[in-house]
Amino acid sequence: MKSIARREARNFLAFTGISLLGFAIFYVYPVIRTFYLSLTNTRVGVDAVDFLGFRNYEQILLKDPLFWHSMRQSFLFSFIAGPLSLLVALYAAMLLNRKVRFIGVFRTIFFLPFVIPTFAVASVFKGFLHPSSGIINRVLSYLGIQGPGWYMDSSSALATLILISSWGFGVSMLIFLAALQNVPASYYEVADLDGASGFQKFRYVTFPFISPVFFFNVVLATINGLKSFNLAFLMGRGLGFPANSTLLFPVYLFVTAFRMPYKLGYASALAWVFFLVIMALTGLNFLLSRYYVNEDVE
Amino acid sequence: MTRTIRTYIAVTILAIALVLVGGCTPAATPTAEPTTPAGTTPTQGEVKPSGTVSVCIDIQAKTIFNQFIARFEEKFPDIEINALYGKDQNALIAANQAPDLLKTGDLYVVSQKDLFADLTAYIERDKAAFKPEDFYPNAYNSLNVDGKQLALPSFFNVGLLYYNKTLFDESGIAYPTADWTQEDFISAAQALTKMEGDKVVQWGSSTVLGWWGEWLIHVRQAGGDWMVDGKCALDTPEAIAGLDFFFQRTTKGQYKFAPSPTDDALGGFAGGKTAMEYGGHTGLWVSYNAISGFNWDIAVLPKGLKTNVGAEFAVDAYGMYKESKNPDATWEFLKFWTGTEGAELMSDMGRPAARMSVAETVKAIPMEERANPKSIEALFDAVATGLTLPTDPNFINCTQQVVQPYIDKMLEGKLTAAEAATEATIKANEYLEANK
Repeated sequence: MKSIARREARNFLAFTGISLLGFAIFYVYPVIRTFYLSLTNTRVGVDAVDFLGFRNYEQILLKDPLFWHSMRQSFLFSFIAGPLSLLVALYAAMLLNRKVRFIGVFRTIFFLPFVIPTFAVASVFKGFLHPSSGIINRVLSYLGIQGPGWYMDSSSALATLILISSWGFGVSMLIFLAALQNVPASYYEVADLDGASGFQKFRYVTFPFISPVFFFNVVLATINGLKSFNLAFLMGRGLGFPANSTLLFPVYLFVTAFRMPYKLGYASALAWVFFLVIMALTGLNFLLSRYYVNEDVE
Repeated sequence: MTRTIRTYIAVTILAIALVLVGGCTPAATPTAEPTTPAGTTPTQGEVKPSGTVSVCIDIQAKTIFNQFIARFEEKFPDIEINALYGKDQNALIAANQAPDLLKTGDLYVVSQKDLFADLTAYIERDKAAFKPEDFYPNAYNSLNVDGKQLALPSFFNVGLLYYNKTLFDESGIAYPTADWTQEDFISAAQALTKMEGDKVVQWGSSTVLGWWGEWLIHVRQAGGDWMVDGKCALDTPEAIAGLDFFFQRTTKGQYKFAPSPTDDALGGFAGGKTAMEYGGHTGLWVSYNAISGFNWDIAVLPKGLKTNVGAEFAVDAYGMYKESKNPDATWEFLKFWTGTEGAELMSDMGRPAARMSVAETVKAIPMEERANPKSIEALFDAVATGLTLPTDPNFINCTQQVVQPYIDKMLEGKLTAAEAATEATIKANEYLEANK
């Protein structure tokens, strides 16, 4: 027995040693290094480094209005864009789960937006949505409607980002589709015999079966929404334009670290606060999942 | 466990520990007085410098720099230039792999000062041939921090009015002149904006939104400024008048303004369907001249509320990394680049040099023999009325994240100029105080 355990331990280390080392160097080390930096006033180009203790954290939580503003924008973005994108993904997955001709073509078409780079998406939508030269407002004006300022107006810029972000629902859709295909057809047949409506079939058959996957997608959508950077950076020119309305937290973090005066120490503290917030939200998601995830599904 | 496993685990733990301990060591020893950089003492005598000199260069400038470097290496065969096109200089610095030559500018040099070697001794040694007095004094002096010359100007940008001569000719409108006022500019922009139905097919001019590029010019031309004595001064009557002028000119719709080139199907000024570009950038001249048939020129910016002083004058510069392994060769390349010969070469390739003698050489070329822009005198006139930006390290973040939102709201008509200026000043001064 002892020699079997020893062999297993040796095999375990042989197979995982390299990746554990990689994990330590590329994940654990940066996390610890970032925490160390967060306790200092490190700046690129400045030699003197002072140890500040938790003063950066104090500054963030008590004296930095931009932190609270950017966090608010990120929460708004995540809590609206996340569910919106999930609904679109679920609806698309249900459509694509039907037995129709050329379903493969439709699946490819629906997945295509996901593989288009964000900068291309941003550029295309900027052209479409420009208040004075974009096609959307021109069409609206033909209909006698005064179009909004879209991403050029501080009151509609975040909503515009949310709308555009629902474009990238491809991965969630694929996950939903895989789950939907595992729902046994016999359950629907029974539901049909019982005269269940479409909504009742979804509520009592489909959703319980896909609830674990739904939970997984909720966690992903929450984290991705809060981490969302590219679209906001491109649409808001990396500046939060207009009027800081697109200054999501990751954009604020980026400009703090990589724009003069390159406050790496402060930005590291921001990153840690953000990490704790995301961890807390993920924990909350796990707690809430007890109320809607059916764990009996295999 | 066998000895093999124990050894394996021990080595892994040791490696992780070494990495972690290394990570927790400060990048530099915290000292008030930096140690004397290697590059401050030039080699005396006739020792010929040799070796490799690395430098990060914008990918857009690759074509001209390939030619430029080839010329240098022809003259100095013992020195090889390792041009890191498109590499992120900050990332290299953070990774302790800083190149020998570092890009900076008047706006950045103060906050980056610990990275640079003091070039004073090199300049002093070679001053007869290098002629430091030939640089524009405001460009050269803006790179001197605490009495140390940390970098040298490689080229400069100053706000100008760019115009498309073809579109002006087609509309029969006279080209912009040095005595243009804002009224002249606005009426020309209105006349040059062309519509087909409700679709714009030609823009009269662009307007810079979302950053200080344009509103600060109006504030300064009205006699105000952003920063006075280290504090935000946007709430002065002059600054408020300048902001209000900007608001009246844009949001009030005196003319439709072009979207930024990335948002606009017409492709901005370079697309050939925008008659004028307000401010612009000299770094784009090479690109403009690469467009076949694009007939463009420059004029000084129109006079604002009170004066024509206030166009943004910005210096692009390079300095020597203080821990350069090859300071003498690095200096040789920097000296060539920013010296008369290199500056003339760069100027020929379309990058304005910050040397007065080069300006005279350029102006001496008959107008019909010049590449665009033909009215190059406007560039040097603009230098005389241009103003540099505050060198306070917090200027950029404070302006973009604290002041700009109020300007944006003013342009949306949600705040008056006075309200925006007052609020912005209070918040900016709080920010500057908190981030001292």
